This record gives sequence, structure tokens and C-alpha cells, in this order.
Amino acid sequence: MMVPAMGAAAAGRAASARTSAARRAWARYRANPLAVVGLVWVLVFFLLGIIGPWVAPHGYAQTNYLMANHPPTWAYPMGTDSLGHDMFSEILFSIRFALEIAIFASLAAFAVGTVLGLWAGLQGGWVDASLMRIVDFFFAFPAYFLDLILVTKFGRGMGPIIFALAVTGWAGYARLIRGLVLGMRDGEMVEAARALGASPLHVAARYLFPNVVSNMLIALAFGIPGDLTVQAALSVVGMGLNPPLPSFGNMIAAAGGNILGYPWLLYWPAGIFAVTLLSFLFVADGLQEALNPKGGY
Amino acid sequence: MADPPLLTIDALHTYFRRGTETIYAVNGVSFTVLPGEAVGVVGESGSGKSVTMLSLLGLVRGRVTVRVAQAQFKSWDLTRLSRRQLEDVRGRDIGVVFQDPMTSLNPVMRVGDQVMEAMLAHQYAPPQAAFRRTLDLFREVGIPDGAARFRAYPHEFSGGMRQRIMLAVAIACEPELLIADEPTTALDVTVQMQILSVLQALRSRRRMSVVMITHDFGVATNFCDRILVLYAGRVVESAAVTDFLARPAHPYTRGLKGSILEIGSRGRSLTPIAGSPPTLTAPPTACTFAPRCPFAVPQCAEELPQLRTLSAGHQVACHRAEEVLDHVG
Repeated sequence: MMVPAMGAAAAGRAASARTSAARRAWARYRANPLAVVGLVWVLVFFLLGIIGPWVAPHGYAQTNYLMANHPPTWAYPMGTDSLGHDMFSEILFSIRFALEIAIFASLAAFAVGTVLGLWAGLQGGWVDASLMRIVDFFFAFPAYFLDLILVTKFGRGMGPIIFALAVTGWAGYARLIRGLVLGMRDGEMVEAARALGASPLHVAARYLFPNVVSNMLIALAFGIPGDLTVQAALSVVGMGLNPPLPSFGNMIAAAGGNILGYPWLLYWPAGIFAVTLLSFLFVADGLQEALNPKGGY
Repeated sequence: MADPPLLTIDALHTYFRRGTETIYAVNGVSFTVLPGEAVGVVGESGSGKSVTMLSLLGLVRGRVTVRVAQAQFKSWDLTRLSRRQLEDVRGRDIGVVFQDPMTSLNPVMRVGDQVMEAMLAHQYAPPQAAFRRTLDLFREVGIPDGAARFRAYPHEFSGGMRQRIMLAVAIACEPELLIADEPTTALDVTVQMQILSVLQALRSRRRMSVVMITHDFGVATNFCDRILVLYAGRVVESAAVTDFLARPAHPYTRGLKGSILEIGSRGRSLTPIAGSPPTLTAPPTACTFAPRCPFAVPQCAEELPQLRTLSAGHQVACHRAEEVLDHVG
């Protein structure tokens, strides 16, 4: 005897129960001022990444030799570099490309790592042993070196860089989720689910993953700035995104030699990049406290 | 009852390999469960109660060997079912309730979804019907305001309420057999009674067989029709509750009854059973209870007693059952 009005009331109450859980997490997040500041900048950064290409006053490959190495003016609010690129536009496009690379690489690593880690943890035995030895290899082998090799082999475009970062990134996610799954695999919840007919796949998708998703999101929030850094580091040694595609690493590397003559070429990209990395880390830290108040990730 | 048994288990063996040792956890357990019957499986920790049931369901993990001469449930030979078919039997035809409701529900899934999930996964009902049925089940197991509680999460419930939810999950597909593995052990005594009466009501309403695994004699004798006593992975006595209470024929059963408190037994001292149950690293060749048994004779250390029938429905595995019965004490 389920009367519609009762259903509506129930839905309302349940919705408030759900928001209260989210609200508690938000309250914990808000209590950390650095995390809030970081979140604001990260959101601005994302916004710029989305609208940047449309609002940029100049194209990223557009040069003006007559205005090369010019200090900031109204037409070039952040000045120009040695080829006469508008630094403001370069930075807007860099944000876009940097975010695309970091997000797709992190998500790919997250997806692969999650699936393999779940499989290893749930299956155990030789599947677990061999997958974890592969993970050990990726932990033992310098990731940056492997990235360099992969980019050398496959080129310096968006695709190859995303691929390289994903290849070196998945192992961390796999090891994390495998450890979390091991802690639950023999628990009563999984036993009960199995006893009631749940298949291993169902257990993984509906029981294990949802119970660790908050830990995984925290890891993802740390992973994105990690990928931003590595991607910039690749550019610094000249193996990053191929010019004329702009990237923070390229700009910072190019500006380093001109710091006395044209300091704005270094200050703008380096400053924005540093603030961005710091903001991402503050956000990850805040998420850690908000989603996983008991600690231990 | 002339009905054929719902569940027939013959000579079930379960061995675990631990390092270089083999642990013989279940050593030839045989029993039947009739339709509508409630069978209590009692025994100490490590007697193989839970392992017996988990073996049947194909749920024991690790390096384990399960051997059984016959495992018949309804028309199915459980040993011949594929993994997929067994998954379908579990939860649809055999429901299971576990000991600790605090840890057996999924903390991040709404309780209503957990009840519905069982029905949807087994294609027992389409979503709309499953939803209505979930509300009915909540009412039946005594969760007030089910429509509102449907969308709540397990942490919003007390232990007793969570066990009611587990019951609703377990019976969602109207299984003919419910295996309850110490369903009240983790609960307060007052809550225990409530859960047992819910279980009793569920059972009487649908002629569902129940296998109740417990170490609580009160629970077993109040709830069940027949009691199986397990010791060191073997059935040592099988008796109707009346026989079990009035004429225990195995020294271990007598020992168990002597070591528990009963209301009205003031002044009677408790007699614990000396020693502890063995962990078998070899298949038993003699009576495993003999070292602790006040009735033991040399024969007991040499010959493994087989389950034999004393009277209708009363079986015991003891060389000296007659002497035990005659002994008044």
C-alpha cells in the first residue's frame, strides 16, 4: 500500500539524508581555508581551459616580429616572447593543452589501474602475483625516464604524451585499489553478497569499487597535478609538446635564459603554473580530509 | 512427513591446506533437511558448522578441497552445477543470513536497493514489482515506515534493524531453504528474541526450511525441530528437539548441556568439558572426543564410531551410547 504522497515524502526525506552526508563532507572541506582557496583557483583554471581558446586575443602560433620581446602593453597584456607570440594567449592555450593531457592521462591510468587492481585483489593467486610484479616493475623503473623513451619513440604530440603518462601512471592506482580490495575481499560483506548469488564481476562493480571510490578520487586528485608536472618536465628537456603548441614547460624553459632582459617571460608562466600545482595539491589535501576523515589512504 | 528431503548431503569432506599441513575441517558430514523443517546445527567454534554450509554453497575460499558423495538440493545435484548455475541457486533458492549485520551489508548502497538487487540479479521480478515487494518485505520483517527507509543507508540503522534487512534480502526471492549462520550471535539478548520471532513468523508463513547454525542451545532448541551436534567436523548426534533435551545419547551432547546455565538451575554447578576440541591434521581414525570423554573405553581410541540409529529419528556416533543413556547424572 504505497500511496503516492507517501512516496514523495519518502523521497524528500531520503534526499535530505543524502545531502546531509554531502553537506558534512563539504563542511569538513570548507574548514580548510587553503583547500577552499585552491579550489577557487582550480575552478578558474578549468574555466580558462574551457573558454581560453575563444577569449584568447591572438592565436597560439600567431607571431609579430615587430613586437618581439615586448613588455606588457594593452594589446599584449603579458608581453610577448622572442618570436612575438602574445604571452597571454600562449598561457590560455597552454592551460587548455595542459589540462587535456593531464586529465586524459590521469583518467586512462585511473581506469586501467582500477580494473587491473580490482582483478588482482579479487582473484588473488597467480593473477595477483603476476600483476603486482608488473606493478613493482613500474615502481622500480624511473617513470620519467620511461616517459622520455615513450615520447621519443611515439612522438611529441598530445596523443603520445597522454599515452606515456598513462603507461607510467596506472601502477599506483592498481596497487592502491588492490590493497583496499584485499582488506574487504574476505570480509562479511563480500561473503554475504557471494552467498546471495552475486558474481565476482557484480561484487567488484557494486560492492568493492563503490566502497573505495573516495580513496581513489583522492588519489586521482593527487595524480592530475603529478601529470601536469611531468608533462612540464618533459618540455624542459625539449621532449614535451611539440612547438608551436604552447606549454608551460616550453615557456619556462625558453624564458630561463632571458631572465635578466625579459623577466615577464618567466614570471607569468612560472607563477601561474606554480600556483596551479599548489592549488591542486591543496584541493587533494582537502578532499582527503572531506571524503576520508578517518585518514589512511 | 513422507515428503522427499529438500536437501540431502552425504559424506561431505572439506580439507584446508595450510603450509605443508592439511586441516581436516569436515570429515564426512551427512544429513537431510525436509521441506519446512528447521534444523539446528550446534557445536563449538571450529567444529565445522559454518564450513559445512559454506562448502555446500561453494563459498569456501583458499586452498581447499571439498569432496561429497551426494549433495542434492531439490532436483539439482549441487556438485554438478556450473559456477554460474550455483550463483543462481544461491540467493534465489537458498537464502543466507550471516552473523554480523554490522558488516555484511554494503555501507554505500541504499538498503532498499540491496533488497531489490537480489530480486533483479536473479530475474525474480521486474523493477516495479521488486520495489513494491521490497516494501512488503520491509513490513514483514518489521521495519516501520519502509517507504521512507528504502533510501536510507545501513549506518542509519541499529544492529537489530540491519539484521531484519539482511533477512529481507535473504528471503527476497522466496528461497525454499534459508541458511542462518549464527544470525543472533552479534545482537543483544532482547534483540535476539525479536529476530528469532521474525524468523519464526517468516518460516511458518511460507513453509521454508531453515538450517540454523548456532552455538546457543536456547536458540537451537526454541527454534528448531531437529538438532545436529557437530564435533571435529563430524555429526556426533542427530535428534529431534524432544529427544535432544530428554535423552542426549552422546557424551559430548551431555557435556554441552551440563556446561550452560539454565533458568531454575540455581545451586547446580556448571560442569565445563575439560580440554578443547582438536584441530585435525589427519583424518580421524578413532573417536575424536575420547580424550575428553568420561565414558571412554579402550575401544574408543581405536575405532571410529559411525552414526547409528538408536530410535526413530535419533542417531548417534558413540560406541557407548546405551551406557550414556542409562547413566543418570
